[in-house]
Amino acid sequence: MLHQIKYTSKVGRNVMQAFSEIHARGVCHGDVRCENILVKQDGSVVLVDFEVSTIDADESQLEAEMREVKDFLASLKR
Amino acid sequence: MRFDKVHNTYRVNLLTKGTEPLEGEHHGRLAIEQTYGYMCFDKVCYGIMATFNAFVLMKRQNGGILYMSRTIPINSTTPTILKLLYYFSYLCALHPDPYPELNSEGIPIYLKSAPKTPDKAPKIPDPNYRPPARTTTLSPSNTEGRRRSARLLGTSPTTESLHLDVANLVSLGCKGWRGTLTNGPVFVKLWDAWKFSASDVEHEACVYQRLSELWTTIVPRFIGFGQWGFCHILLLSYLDVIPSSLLL
Repeated sequence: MLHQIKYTSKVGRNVMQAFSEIHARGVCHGDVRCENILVKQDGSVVLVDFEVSTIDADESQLEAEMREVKDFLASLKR
Repeated sequence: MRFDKVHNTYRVNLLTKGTEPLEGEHHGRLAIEQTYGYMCFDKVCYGIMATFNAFVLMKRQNGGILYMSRTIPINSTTPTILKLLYYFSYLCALHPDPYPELNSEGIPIYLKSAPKTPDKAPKIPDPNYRPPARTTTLSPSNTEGRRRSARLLGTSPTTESLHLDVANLVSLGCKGWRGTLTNGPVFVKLWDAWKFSASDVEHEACVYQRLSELWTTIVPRFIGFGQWGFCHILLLSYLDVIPSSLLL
């Protein structure tokens, strides 16, 4: 159980970091959901499906997406 | 709905004349030739070719001329498919007599059926037969982050051909497929070109280019994009991952 909690926490941190990285490059993913956030065995995270993404997104878009990511992570913890 | 109303509205742009080169790769040409063959064999003037989500209306004229409508998607509203078929059946009813294909001297051409002898019959397929691998050509990724069209990528002096073995694609659900390039497995994303424009693919390719510093760590490595038949293709490196939904 403890191992699973640690693993989920690690995945959560990696998800936040992944979105921070793409936001730092001006990309807003635009479609935050389970199917587009893939997890490797070691807990690292891969983002896919940038069909509806925005390049050179403004701050408000990026902040809104970060809130979506946090909601997504909250659903992981439940 | 009245015939004359439909007729007057659509007669101008329903049938158009066009030509198609006999050489080169054209995935629709064989289907057109097949349908045209049926129309000649059945001595009918009009024919319809339908795909899963579109219609093409065809009209034959002696001398080997075939008129084809534009490709009409099934969700067309101006006009609707129902109206088109209604009008087309009206045209067919105007030509109830057989319309054989004629040669240059005006003599009907008759197609000959294949002999029905056992030695001419199709052979039972060999279960051990392996079809030759079909390949498709794609434009590889370039290191510039600018958005480009597939045509421009294809003509760039820095591009090279990538050959994807499309015979062995394995569906991963939705638009995702697992394919094989010469150097190993790849993730293949396919868009139905009837529904999506090439700009959708170009946009996603452009995003992956922008994120090139994150390839293989946070996003898959972008390999290339292009066109195959009626599909747009995007190629990414194949990663051994699971959807995060499985963690829930």
